[in-house]
Amino acid sequence: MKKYTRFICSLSAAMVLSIVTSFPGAAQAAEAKAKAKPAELPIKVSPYKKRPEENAKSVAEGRVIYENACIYCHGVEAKGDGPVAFYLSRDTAPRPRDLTSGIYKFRSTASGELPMDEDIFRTITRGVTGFMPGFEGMAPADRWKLVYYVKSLVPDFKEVTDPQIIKMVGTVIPSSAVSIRRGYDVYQQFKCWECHGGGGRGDGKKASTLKDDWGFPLPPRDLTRLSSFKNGSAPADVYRTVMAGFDGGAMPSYADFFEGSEKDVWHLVNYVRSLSE
Amino acid sequence: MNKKKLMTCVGVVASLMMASNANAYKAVTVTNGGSISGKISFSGAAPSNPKLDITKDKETCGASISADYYIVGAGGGLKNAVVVIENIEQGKAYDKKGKVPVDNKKCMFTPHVTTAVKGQKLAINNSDPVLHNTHLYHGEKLKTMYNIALPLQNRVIKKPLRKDGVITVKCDAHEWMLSYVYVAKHPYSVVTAADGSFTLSDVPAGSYKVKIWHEKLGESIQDVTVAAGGTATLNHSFGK
Amino acid sequence: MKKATFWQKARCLASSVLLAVLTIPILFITSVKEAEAVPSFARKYDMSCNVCHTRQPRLNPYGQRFMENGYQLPGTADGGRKEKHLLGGETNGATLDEISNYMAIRLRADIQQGSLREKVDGVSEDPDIIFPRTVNIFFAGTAKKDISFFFEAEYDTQDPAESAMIFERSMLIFDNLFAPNNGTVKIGQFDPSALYSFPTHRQQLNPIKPIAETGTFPPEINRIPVLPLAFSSKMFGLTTGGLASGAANSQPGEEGFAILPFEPYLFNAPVQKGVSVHGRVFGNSLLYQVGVVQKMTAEETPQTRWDSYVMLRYDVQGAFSNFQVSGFYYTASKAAMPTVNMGSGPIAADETVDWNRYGLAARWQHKAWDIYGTYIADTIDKPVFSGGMPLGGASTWETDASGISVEADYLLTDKWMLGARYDQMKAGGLIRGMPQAMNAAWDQDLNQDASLLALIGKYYPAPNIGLYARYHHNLESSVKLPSAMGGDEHPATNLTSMFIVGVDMAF
Repeated sequence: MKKYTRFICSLSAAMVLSIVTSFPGAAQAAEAKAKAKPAELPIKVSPYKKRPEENAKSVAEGRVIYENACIYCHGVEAKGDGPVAFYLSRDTAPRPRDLTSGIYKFRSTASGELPMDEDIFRTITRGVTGFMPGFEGMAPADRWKLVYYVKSLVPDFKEVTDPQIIKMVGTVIPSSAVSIRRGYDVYQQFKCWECHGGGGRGDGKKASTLKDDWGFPLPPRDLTRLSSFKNGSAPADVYRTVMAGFDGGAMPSYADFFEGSEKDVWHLVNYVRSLSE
Repeated sequence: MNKKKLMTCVGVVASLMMASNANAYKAVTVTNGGSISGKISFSGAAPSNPKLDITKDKETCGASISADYYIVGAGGGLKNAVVVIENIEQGKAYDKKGKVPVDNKKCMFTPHVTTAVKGQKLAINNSDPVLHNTHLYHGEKLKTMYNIALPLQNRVIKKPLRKDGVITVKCDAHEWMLSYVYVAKHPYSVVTAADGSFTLSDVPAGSYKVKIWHEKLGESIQDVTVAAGGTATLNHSFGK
Repeated sequence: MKKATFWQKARCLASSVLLAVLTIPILFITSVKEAEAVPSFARKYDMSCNVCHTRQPRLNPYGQRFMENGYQLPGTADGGRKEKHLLGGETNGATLDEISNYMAIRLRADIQQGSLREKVDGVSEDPDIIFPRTVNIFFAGTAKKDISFFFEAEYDTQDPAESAMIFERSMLIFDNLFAPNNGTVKIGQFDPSALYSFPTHRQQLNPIKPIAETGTFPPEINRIPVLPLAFSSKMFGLTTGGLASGAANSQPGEEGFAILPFEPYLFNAPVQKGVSVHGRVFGNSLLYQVGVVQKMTAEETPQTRWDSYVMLRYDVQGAFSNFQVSGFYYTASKAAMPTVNMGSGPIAADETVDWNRYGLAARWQHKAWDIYGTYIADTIDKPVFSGGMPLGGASTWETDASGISVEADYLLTDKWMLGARYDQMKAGGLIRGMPQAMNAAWDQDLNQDASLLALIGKYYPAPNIGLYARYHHNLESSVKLPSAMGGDEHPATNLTSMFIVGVDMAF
């Protein structure tokens, strides 16, 4: 009888354990702990190792900094409706981002995902070439507070337990004629030319009608002008662009098609960077 | 003494089991389930479908395509409406690993409207030799959910549907392309056939609110009572 | 007007050549990105001009805050970005910007066709083709965190007689001395109204200088300037004094001995030497500015005088909108000498007069609209001429004057801007030299009102290049000068209309 009881109890315990771990939150929280610190982030964004803690106080301080530095473009309510917006681009993209939309262009995460904190920090630090100034002259602690304030505008950040980070597979492959040749083949095979054009000048057959999520015309980048790459032009930046795509714009993510052959992305990066020579 | 221990164990297990499934849809064995069937129609002359402006890749897409927003058959049957039970918490089982196909074919999405259960995966494919990018938007606010490039033909990409709601499917490269995926928390959703008819089977007996949704004509919510083993009829007509 | 001497012409030519030689390498250094050439601030921060400008030269609210913060990004004390070159070691190095990050050039060239009423001697104005008309070279930026500078040299090809290069604005700025956003001190020669909602120095319609001889009294005005009349001195019959001693006082930036009713003055003069302190208090919406301006009194023996002013501005942000309202008060003591000339020479009043000016301005920016206007009023003391009639004692004076200027700019597309401006001036100062009963020749009021309407179309092939066509129409009908002063066309109505096409570009 004792044996029987113990058997039932242990069976029940096993059932309980399996049920408990099938809670959506619990399972993903366990996974998230494993995934939250990825082996390599696509770019070293900040030498600033000590971040302020993300809490109500730092979000409130971020709001004060936002009111001083950001409202003229991004608007008092962060909807991208600051007074500068119409003068920056009257009828075309890009407009200052609606920070309440939950749509982020520059990410290290998969298509449709929310960005990492480091991604938002990087964008604030570097700005967006031609349109948003870079705030590297602002103290890093202040920039992190802005990151926390920006996150507080989108409730979905609180529910992210499993950030789908683009893995930086392999390392940067140095540019060479062989690599560029391979990159050219990839560019043809993966049909980048249909939007970016045969010579990479952003004049592909699909270029003229591309729009962003808000309906503004947003043509593909002229790849021959490295300095105008909004996500950066370092090899890791271009890798990130190809893999993550730009949410809010037309550039899609190629991560699914390069799964297993990430080396080809590095070759493609070398080819793209060679177009401006 | 032993029996007491046993009962305690079982009692603890049972209560934990009930707690864990409080919010999710529960798949159970439906005995003596009924069904809801009927016909969705459009009364009056069907609105005309605009001609889509084919601005590129004419060799693949053809010179012109008619939009497929309104498909009204003889007798007024409305195709591609979605009939879905709003408030059902337990019912028949479904294939959790089911794949919902979305195909880029001749520069249109096939099928035009389909349904899925939250947690299933989209199987996105490009049957055309040109570059498509399948850009999925979630909900009324059209928030980007995925934007996947499909440069190679016939290579299926799977993406999980982690939210329920209406998914709008578009292609940036070909701006006229449009389709919908209606994602519910449960398997009781169906797309009407060409004659407007539909059937939802294995529905546990009870009273439900049923939504009829159409991409252009709006939506309507009806009360339906399903008797055990019986067939409830639901007919609805859009239009004036 | 004196004709340019040979040496002056030669110097003019040499300066033009030198300028051209200097310009070309700079144009190559600052390579064009995406067909958007970027002057120094834009180069430094890698931004389009339109982050700070509605369309150059006018500022949008972000550009206003950038300027307010000593050319550092609003909300920061970034010293103009960190990326300066460090020369000479980590501990004792000098940080320097590349020259292209603090130097810029602005070129303006016009073809002007003014239409004047037929003068007594039958002279009317010919089309004026001057290329380039004005060249400005700016050096502006931050030397270190919260220490900024701005120097502007202007060369005006219309006035080769003057020194070829004069320093227009030049200032040192110490930012945020009291607290972030508070206590920025400007020292030097600058536009006191730079923070006002209708600043003098930033106009979509560039001011066109007068054709006038101001060394004598009364001045000979062949054509009035074209600029917002609210800024003008508005007073007839005033001079800068120093008559008897023969040392006509006039300061740099002033037109001359005679104070033209139509020249921008006091708070609204484009360049004044002085000190100002500004900052934001009680939050982010209220801006204060207090300052002093150093001038000379209009006394016989001029003394240094210090004018003082205070300005307050309140900003409100909304969806795609910025609304701001500002007011100022400017006071100048012993600022001008009322003067009468009855044909036998100018006669000065017993004493100089104090001159006070106050104004109210508002600006509303909404989507593609930029609408701004100001009302400015002036008062002077009542002039006193003892020594009996007719030596000025019989003259009558209006001690109050006011002006309104309102402009609306609309961005039709990214490249097209349309604008309209209305100016009105209710003039003050000398009404009549003596009553008509005593001298039939004083048959008109001297201080006539002026009002002008202007229309502009401006095309921006790039944000830093503006091609414009503008038309100015004089709304006042013809009025003559008093017969005692010649009976000729009154300067306020002499110019019937003016048509200008030109280019305004900055690199």
